[in-house]
Amino acid sequence: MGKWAEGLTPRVEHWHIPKKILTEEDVMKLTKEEQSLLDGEKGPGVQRSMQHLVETGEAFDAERLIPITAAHLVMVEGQLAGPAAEAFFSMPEPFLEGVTSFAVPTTLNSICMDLSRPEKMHISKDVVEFVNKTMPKAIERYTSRGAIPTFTCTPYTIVPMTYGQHVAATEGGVVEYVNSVIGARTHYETIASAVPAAVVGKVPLYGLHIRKNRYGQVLVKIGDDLVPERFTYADYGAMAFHAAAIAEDRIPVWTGIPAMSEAALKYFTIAHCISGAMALEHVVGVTPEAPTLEEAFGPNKPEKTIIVDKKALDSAYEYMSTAEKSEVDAVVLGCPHLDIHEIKEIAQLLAGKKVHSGLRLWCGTNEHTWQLAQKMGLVDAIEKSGAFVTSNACSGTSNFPMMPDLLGVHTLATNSVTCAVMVPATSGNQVLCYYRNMKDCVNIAVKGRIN
Amino acid sequence: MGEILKGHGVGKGQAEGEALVTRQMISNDYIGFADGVYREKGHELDGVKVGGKILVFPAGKGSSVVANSLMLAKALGGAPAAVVFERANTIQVQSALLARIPAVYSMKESFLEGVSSGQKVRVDADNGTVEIL
Repeated sequence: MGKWAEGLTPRVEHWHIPKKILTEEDVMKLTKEEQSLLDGEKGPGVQRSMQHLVETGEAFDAERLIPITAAHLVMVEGQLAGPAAEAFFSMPEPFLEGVTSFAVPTTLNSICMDLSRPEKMHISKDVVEFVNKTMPKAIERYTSRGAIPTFTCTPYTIVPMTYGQHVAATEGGVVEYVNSVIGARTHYETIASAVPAAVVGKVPLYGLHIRKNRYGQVLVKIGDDLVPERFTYADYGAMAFHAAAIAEDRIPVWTGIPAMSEAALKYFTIAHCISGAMALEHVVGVTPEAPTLEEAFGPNKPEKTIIVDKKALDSAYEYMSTAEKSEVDAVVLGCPHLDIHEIKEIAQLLAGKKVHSGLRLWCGTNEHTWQLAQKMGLVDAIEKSGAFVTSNACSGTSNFPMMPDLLGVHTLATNSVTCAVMVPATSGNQVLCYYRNMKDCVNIAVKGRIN
Repeated sequence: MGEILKGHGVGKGQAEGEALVTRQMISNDYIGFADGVYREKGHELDGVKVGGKILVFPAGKGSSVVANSLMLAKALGGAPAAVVFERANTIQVQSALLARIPAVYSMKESFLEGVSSGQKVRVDADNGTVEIL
């Protein structure tokens, strides 16, 4: 990562608060109440939050602000930025100053790591100390303001959202799923900028909050040499990764895919934001805004047609498999968090098997699903093999890259596009990945190597 | 006096510098915070320093978790002097706003067509213009 400014603690610039930032030329109209918040009546955090919302709105020529019914925040933890940890950690602070509670129900994304059973999971005291440098503070600054401790990247399985609701969500998978599968309306908010939305309870009216901006823009077809009925979660992810790169930021309309399970939709939708920049996609006959091809596109004509065939799928698998060594140190399942069906699948795959000595097979889920899985005997069934079902925490994408030497993980296998792409990127290529489907991942975990 | 291209400003502020134009999407996640080097496997700017430049590209992509990378890059010295893009989205606009980096996006005139790598340009976010110097 190069020589950082050693000894220097970079301070994130705290934004000045101008007396009045709206002029006659500005488009956005604020209510009297909104103007008073911008004038500082409810304190500096609310004021800066309003300023950010107004600046964003101005950038997009939004007419006004609209209320949201929910927000989903990713907690900002220092581990994610290595040497720039302190600057990174301080990022939401300007928006929280003087704020005692969020204005709308606000759910929280996963914590950095499941530290509930460190000895059992072979997590050293050094790792616990490293993670606890910021994790508890990161949690507390949001929970103390009333955030709901869902600690998952699938919050919609615990705190429901419904079609048509305006929300402010962060975390790519949540955004893509909420927009595409639920049909609620959100932008791909960033980790600092979703805080202003949660503090004020509003977002500017632009983009995907408006129906006419939600219609499809490019057409995607499945090649004749692929059989959708046989797709694995990894296939869905690879397919989406391929097409989204070509679609760039345009909204894709997928055709030729029959019914998809919740889990399949999860892997499929999140992959779009790893290579692409669209926050919404449609699958004709599957997702709610695309009952037919015509309704999916609305008044738009497809700007292009993308065909995803076997060659495309194979090349996506290859692109995402960056690892060089045959020995594998960890296997990550549950990015995004596993649902109960997947946990059952994993238990079946592991039946009678043992995970290779020293290899970490982490199967991440949220606490609700973990409790359910335990009731069903699935946690015991999986952990009998030496694997672990983790809860509340990121399954591997946000922890392995930050501490490769501390955790002894330099090569991992996963069926998650997010994990396969982000782990090498955020670890400066210190941790490399194999992209394989769930069944192959379990086999790799048992063998301890790729072949 | 050079050509002035008119678009939509994001935030406020001005910056001058050497333009670096790419037709591939840019992720702020991949800009080295301190060294300003862009790192993305297969990207045409992989290994190229974007820090201090006026970066011109079609649209931004990236994660929400490290989408504020641009803020960190600004704090640690690796950030571009300004960002100019064809199509605005939440991630890119908010990244520029939070980092306090001048940004402009295209309205009627295409910046990708109007600006070439190596040209000295001035970006004015207040007026939403890119001027070839």
